[in-house]
Amino acid sequence: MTQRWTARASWDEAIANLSRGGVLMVVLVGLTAGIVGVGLVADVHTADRVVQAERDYLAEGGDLLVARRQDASTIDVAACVAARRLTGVTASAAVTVTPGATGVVGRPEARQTVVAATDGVLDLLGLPVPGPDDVVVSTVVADRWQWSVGSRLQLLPDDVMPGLPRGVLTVSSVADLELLSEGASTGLLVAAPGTGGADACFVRIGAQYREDVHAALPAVLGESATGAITVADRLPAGALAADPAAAYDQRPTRWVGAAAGGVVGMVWVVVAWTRRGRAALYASIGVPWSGGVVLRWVEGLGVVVPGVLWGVALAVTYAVTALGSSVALVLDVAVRGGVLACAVAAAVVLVAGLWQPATLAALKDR
Amino acid sequence: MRLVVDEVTVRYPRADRHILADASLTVEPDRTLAVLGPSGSGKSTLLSVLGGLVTPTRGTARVAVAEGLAPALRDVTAWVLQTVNVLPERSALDNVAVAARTRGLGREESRAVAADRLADVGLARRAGDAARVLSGGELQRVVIARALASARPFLLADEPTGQLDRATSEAVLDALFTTSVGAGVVVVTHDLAVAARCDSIVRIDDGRVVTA
Repeated sequence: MTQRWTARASWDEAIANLSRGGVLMVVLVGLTAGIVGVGLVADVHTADRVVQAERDYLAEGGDLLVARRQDASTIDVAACVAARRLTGVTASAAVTVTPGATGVVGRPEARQTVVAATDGVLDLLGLPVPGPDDVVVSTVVADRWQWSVGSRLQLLPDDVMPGLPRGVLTVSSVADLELLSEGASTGLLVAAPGTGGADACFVRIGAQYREDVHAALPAVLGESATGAITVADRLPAGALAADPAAAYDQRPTRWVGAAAGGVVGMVWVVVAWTRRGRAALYASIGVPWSGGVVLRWVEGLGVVVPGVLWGVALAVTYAVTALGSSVALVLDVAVRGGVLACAVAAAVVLVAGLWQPATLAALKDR
Repeated sequence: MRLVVDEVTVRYPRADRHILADASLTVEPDRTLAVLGPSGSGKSTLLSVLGGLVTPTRGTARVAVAEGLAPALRDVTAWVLQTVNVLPERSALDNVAVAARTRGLGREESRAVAADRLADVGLARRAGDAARVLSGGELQRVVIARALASARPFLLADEPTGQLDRATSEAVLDALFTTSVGAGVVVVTHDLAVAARCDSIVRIDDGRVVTA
């Protein structure tokens, strides 16, 4: 006589046990969802903070290098514009900040700081290209003089900064110019010609190219034995060392999905231990070990998989609606974490399912 | 086909004495055998040896066949235990049908067999009820129906009425003996009235089969 218990029979039994498991199964699925959901929300929250920190970091100029001549003479504007072609440089602009550069019609006694910059500054600031009669004003100046986009103004150039436009200008953008320097925060931004000299050369870089660009920039800008060029981070020392990509990849909660899966798996192991009498019962009826294994696998996965999916759904919903996290970020973190949680929990369930208690002892324990 | 226990000794690990000592026994098909003895004498262990759940420390327990390859003890025995072992949330029908599936029957065929076996033990009307709502006597009859549904040639019953009152015990024994016709039945009991209903009796004392 041979065993004729089939895998289909194990499947049917497991599904029947799950569907008639009542409160226990609902509680287990809910507990799984809770464990996974809480873990993933924590990870989304952490990832969200990393992304926000990166935005702040970039907004403050964390990816900018500033080159100046040590002797305070000017940087060659054409060379600065050409630095855009360096590998790893995404934008470059020659910038000169002149405090008290001009008067403004209708603002007697007031002298206005002017920031003259080449076109690349628009990329640095994320601004649209202005027209020939347009001007960009800093937020500080816009507040002070009640200017906004569309406002019209006229400069009164003199000897301090010759060459400024004399006609009526239209405010095309209001922007925080502090990125360019503290003095620029109270300035008007006008276009500078692509030749001549400038106070400084700003370059925006990809984080991974920082060292290469840092090393190459002085030569590109025409450093000589008598005219040394210093390249510095726009932010205070060390601030550029922050690597957002690394911070994201190495966030402390990145393995929370796996940990949640492990906890879920251990919960199932405890449940399987308390239900060992059932395993013994099937064995005593004549269900072979392999049939019992399949039955326990289907039961375990029948709890773990829906629980994890529910947990991911809860985490995504909560993170998007309550935390206000971006959908793309939440999906990335939650799906990765969910897959990890499911894989670990399933692995524990599959290994635990191989164990079958001693039939007689387990039956007497019932 | 017979079940043969030949000079079997069972000693559990770390136990300071044997549970069975040189016990020999043959269970014939279509016969009922009572195993009598005081508590702790080794009755249940002998039954476990017959069912292949316990491996003897010494001696052999096997299925003897006239010709061909002998099957394993586990494949020819079905159990009725003193402690009722059922799936409480599942129906009586489900509990019995699972045994029929060990024969390779499909889901519907197994349920049909289960319904017949439940009818045999007088539980047709309770087939759809969850096991947890059945009485002790009804549960024991479910277990008997389950053992019958597996269609194993030998049925091993370990004090099947040990936790039942007299009237219920009679009903359960009636179900056991009338429905198991054709099978070899071994009933472990300390109840002489139960033993009296069997074709033969053996007595166990201190792990030894002292009368046969």
